[in-house]
Amino acid sequence: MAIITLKDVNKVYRTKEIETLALENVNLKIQKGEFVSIMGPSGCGKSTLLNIIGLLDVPTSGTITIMDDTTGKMNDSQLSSFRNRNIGFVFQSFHLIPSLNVAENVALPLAYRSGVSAKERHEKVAEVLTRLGLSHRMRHFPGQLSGGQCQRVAIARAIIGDPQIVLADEPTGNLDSKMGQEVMDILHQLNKEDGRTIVMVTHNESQARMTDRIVRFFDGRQVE
Amino acid sequence: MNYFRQIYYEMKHQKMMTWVSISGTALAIFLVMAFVMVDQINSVEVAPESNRSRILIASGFHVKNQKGMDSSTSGLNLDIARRLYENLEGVEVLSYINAFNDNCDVNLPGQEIFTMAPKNVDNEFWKIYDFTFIDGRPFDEAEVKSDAKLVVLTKSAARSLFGEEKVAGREIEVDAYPYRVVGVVEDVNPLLSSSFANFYKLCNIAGIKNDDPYFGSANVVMLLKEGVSAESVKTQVENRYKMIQSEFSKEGYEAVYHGQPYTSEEVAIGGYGSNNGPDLDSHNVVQWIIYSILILLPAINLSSMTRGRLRHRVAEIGVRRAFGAKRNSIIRQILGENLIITFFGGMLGLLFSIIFVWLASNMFFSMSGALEQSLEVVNARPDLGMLFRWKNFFWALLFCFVLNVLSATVPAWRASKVEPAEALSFAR
Amino acid sequence: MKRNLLNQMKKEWRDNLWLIIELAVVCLAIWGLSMIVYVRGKGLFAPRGFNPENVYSISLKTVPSGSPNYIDLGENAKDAYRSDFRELLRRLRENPNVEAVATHWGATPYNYNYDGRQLAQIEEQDSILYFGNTRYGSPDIVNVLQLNSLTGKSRKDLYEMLQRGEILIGNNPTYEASGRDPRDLIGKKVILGGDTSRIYRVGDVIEQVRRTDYEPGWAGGYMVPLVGGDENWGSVAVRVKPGKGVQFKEDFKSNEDLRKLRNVYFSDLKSLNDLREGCQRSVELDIRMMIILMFFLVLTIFLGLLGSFWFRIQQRISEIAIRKVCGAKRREIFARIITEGLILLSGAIVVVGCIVWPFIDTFENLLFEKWTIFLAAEAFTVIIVAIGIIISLWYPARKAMQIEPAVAIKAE
Repeated sequence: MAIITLKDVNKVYRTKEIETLALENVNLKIQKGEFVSIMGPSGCGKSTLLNIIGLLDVPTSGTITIMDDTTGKMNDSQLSSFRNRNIGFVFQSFHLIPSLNVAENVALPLAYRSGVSAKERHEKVAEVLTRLGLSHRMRHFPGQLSGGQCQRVAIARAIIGDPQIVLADEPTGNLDSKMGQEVMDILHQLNKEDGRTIVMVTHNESQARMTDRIVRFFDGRQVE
Repeated sequence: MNYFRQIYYEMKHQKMMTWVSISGTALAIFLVMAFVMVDQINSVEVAPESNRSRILIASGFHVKNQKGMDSSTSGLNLDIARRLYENLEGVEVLSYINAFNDNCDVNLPGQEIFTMAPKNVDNEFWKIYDFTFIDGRPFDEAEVKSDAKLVVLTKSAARSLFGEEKVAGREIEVDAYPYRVVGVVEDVNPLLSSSFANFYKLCNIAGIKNDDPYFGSANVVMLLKEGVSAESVKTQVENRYKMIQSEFSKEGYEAVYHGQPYTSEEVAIGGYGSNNGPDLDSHNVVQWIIYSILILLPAINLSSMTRGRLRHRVAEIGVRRAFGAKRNSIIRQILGENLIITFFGGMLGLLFSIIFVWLASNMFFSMSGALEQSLEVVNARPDLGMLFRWKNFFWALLFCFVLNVLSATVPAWRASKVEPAEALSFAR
Repeated sequence: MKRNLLNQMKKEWRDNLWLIIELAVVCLAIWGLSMIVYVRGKGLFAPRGFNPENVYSISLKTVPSGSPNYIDLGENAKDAYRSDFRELLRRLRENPNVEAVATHWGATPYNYNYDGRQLAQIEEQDSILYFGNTRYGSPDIVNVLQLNSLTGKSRKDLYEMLQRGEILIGNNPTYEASGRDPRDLIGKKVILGGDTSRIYRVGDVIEQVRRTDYEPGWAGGYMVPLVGGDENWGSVAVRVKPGKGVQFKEDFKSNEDLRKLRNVYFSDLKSLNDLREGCQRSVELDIRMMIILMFFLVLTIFLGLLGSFWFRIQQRISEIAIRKVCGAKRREIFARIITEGLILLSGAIVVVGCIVWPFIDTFENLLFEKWTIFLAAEAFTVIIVAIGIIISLWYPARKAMQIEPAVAIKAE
């Protein structure tokens, strides 16, 4: 069963002077529980694709269906709640909020979800951080952590809301190979144990080969 | 909680911006509050003018003849004053005081002479103003009727003359005439101009010889009943003017009404005479123009500061949006954070303004009619209690809030409009 | 280079627009305030028409007949009162510290004499020759206040005119602005305020004595001789010899003979300088408030520009670094930022000009010399605000100057 379906998706960026075609006629189905890598050279539209899947950006034309919901007609507020419930994000540069400590960063998605009590939130945070081996770092600030630890915090944040889909944009791009491997192991674990669908943009051929499927892009077109 | 953390973080990591924001806010609130406080001295209610909002003062009478020649003075003929102001509906107490209060020579027989500012008052005066008696009592009706030579001294006057305060029953000379002290009251701040004097001399306006049909020595002070508006009394007085006008017309005169009796605020802003009334409205318009300039300019500044601070946080806003924050919650968060800064700066500003206005009161307060009195009066300083009022605190809060809304709404709204995809790629 | 700067500013037009609006509001406020302060302050430096130093004011009082201190003089009481007052004046004049003594009503400035009357010729009472503040004085008032003739007459001449019962008219700008010369009134026979019982001859025109130093020059005034000599006029004005003020006050306090004779006595001695302070307090307060307001407006601008440019320079670190790599000198970078601020100011001045232009006629009516004040105030505003801008940009500009290209580019 397809959890994410892209149909005839085009994305054009327009400025006064030029038009750039970022995605051209993309058709893509991702099955529930699949771990998909997206590969391609810089500027081929990978990140645009990820943003569109993550509902952070809208296509110029075409439709996206996620978990049987066609997202095109949702307003901003509906999109926000949809993201909050169903999608987790992991970024290359972590994007932790420097003024918040680890626990607060992790709890962020729950802060935007109504009906979660403070107690539940604390329990959830503790649970997720324990799972990722970071329970002793709860009161630390991002500035006090190593890159690998930061990315693990970011992953904790991505899964605390229990989303079906995790989108990872070059999650190991800023890490050395040992830490990178650690992060990849965690992602695989999330895929295998929790059955989450993972879509990952990467430049790393060997990491990609470990995933269920590789989708290659070139100049906005899906080539494989 | 997280708001405070954010501010703390910014103070550490964006020192310049945060401090410019805080000091800009402090400066704005400081300045606007200094102006508010100087102005509110006109309506502050402290003893002996605790009933200020209920006190009305009538002075001045203005007559025009057919040729358009004007005559006017601040004192009224007692008969005219009675016809205009006695038995008005809603008035609880009515007192006649002398319009003219020239400085007096005051001394103990054969001893050093002090020049003191008197107020010439009757027995009702003491029911309108809540003086604190240290010794003795006020004048009574019989004493006023019989024109007794009595005074009530202020504490400092008693000290200068006798070297002590409990001097009720003792004798002094006022302008070479013997008077008896019946009471001693606490000193009055000279900024409370309608009750201030160095001493209070018994005065029976009816006993002053007066041949002029219109003008005389009478001024009227009245205390309204609880809940009665000054406007309703003014309307009654205006009608009384119309009534006496019918008589005046026969002789070819016109009695010109200038909005008497005046409220304490009108009296305090001054700028009026016996042939023109105080203009509280235009005074207030000027005040509000000043306030809005003082709030709007810093708001422009602060809004560019806020925008500057927010530009460092584009990525953060993107992340929050990615994880499900709605636009409203972003706006709410930014306004909330900004309110803390505005508050912090605002309270700092309020504190400074109280200290500044108090210390530099010479720069701010003037006594109208101070010529008649001494320089000590001219250089009056408000009591701290007159400045440190809940009302001021409330005003400062209100101004902070306005400043916050003005300076942060647009930047917050624009920040919330940022597309998360753009925000995250921008920050990479 | 300049072109580039303008282009760059165009890109940040939104920020710049706000800054220009802010500068324009501040310029407008400072400019308006400085005009008011100028008009007020001008009075302060205009000729006073008299010399306030060493002048004292004294009130005359009498012991009431019911007082135990009253000395019963029987039938002669009324005459005694006059002769005693005259004797007291003589004693004052003979005091070694005193130069001149006059009796008067409302003749010294810094009082609340608002008695204004019209001067008209008796044949044409409806055509007003002159309007002004009425002051009464004995001839010696000329010497006490040291009044100056505008036609070159000596004080002795002025003294004699008052003695002959002639009045002295002050010049005033309103009168002259309407194209009339007060000197044309000399020799005319006039009545005051429609009172035909007494006809005065205009003796001379004197340098205008204003009620207060700040009062604009358009309230005229004239000196009328006292009727029937010294008696019955409540106020006494004394000119003390230079440097003898303290001694005179001491004498007045300690020497009862100087102060009191039977039922007549002097009281409430005040120097004209003290009276001035009391009387001008509220005007000075207004002026002070305006100056404080101007100062804080400049401070607001200071904070606003400091913050904005601080932020801009942070945004432009890499740009500045690249300029440096391409050979820009530190001084050029500094100058570029200051120039940016001054360009904003010129924008603001244009805005202010557009706002004010339609009202220029109003100002012309308010002020007698429209352009001088208008432009002087404008120049003053520009200078003040420009100084504010330069000071506020100094620190950010220096910061920008010190950017190390290598470090900055690497940080990007």
